[in-house]
Amino acid sequence: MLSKDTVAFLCANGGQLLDAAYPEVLGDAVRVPIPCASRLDVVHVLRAVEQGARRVLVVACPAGNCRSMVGPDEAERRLHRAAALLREAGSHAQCILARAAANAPEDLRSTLAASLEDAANQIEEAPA
Amino acid sequence: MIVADRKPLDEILEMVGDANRILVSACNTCVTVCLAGGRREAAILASQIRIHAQEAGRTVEVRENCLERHCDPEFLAELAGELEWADVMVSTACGVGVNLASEVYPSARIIPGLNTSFFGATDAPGRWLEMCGGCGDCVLHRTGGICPIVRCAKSILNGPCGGSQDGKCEVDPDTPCAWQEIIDRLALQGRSAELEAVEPVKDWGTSHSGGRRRRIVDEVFQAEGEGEA
Repeated sequence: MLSKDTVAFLCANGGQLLDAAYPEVLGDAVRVPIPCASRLDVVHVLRAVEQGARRVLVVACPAGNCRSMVGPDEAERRLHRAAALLREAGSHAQCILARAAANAPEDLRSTLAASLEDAANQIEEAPA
Repeated sequence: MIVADRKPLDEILEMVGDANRILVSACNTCVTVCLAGGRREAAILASQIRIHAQEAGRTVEVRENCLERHCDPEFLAELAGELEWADVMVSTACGVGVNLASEVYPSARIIPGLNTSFFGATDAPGRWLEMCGGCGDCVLHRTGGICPIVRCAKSILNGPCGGSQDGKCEVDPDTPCAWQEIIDRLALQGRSAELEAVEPVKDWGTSHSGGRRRRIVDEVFQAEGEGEA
């Protein structure tokens, strides 16, 4: 279950529709609809972390399933850049890109489960 | 345009020191186009500074603004109030902007957020290439519009040198030899014979080595009546 310290940017053509049908997947995450995942900007991610988010999730469409063709790829590039900028600033906030169609909540669940497990492992591995 | 790169955050934070009120001031001209110091890049830097402070348990206030240009005093007037407030201003303008803002506001602490790199042009989205050395004595009419000062690693005026191999520069095999390009360009224009002419020794006194350069348009400068003699 995601808590309020997760900000989820949802593609209006996929992630937002998925969330409307399966709201339990994102739990208490703060939802931010965007017209397409490609509209995600690095600044959006930084601002979310600045305002308290410890995890930023972008729900984009699967490859070949994007109305704008390249939305998920653009989002991925920007999310990587944002993650690098966050690390440079000393933040450990987690950036997650999930590629899930509106009718595929399992894809989103499995991405989230893997990412949360990764984060838990990183915390365990971090020196005290 | 003037092309620049943002400095690493650590370097900027070291310059900022323990300042609590920080102004990040962007420039809406060259550095906006080369994605180094425009409004968006200033927002990124300001956000990083805030996040870094939060992680360190410090409280800082960071404001952002964006001037149309940092290289004209009239636009810098917008900074007056903000500089009264700020302990330090991080300028994401080029070095020209940092110089001028520091002259206009000599008591303000103004630090560079960018490393100013070169005069360049957009080669592809996200990539800029140096095009002009600003030497003050342009020879582009003789070289088919290809600047040998910056596009040749040795700034040779009667090239190519012996290191040119297969049209590439010996310094970097991915970089075209500027003189190969000049020869090809002049051949394309039917001007190959001009390559026989020897370019005389260049007077570098018009370049950086001649001291600080200035340009004066008499009728304007006299009408204003102010400025450096």
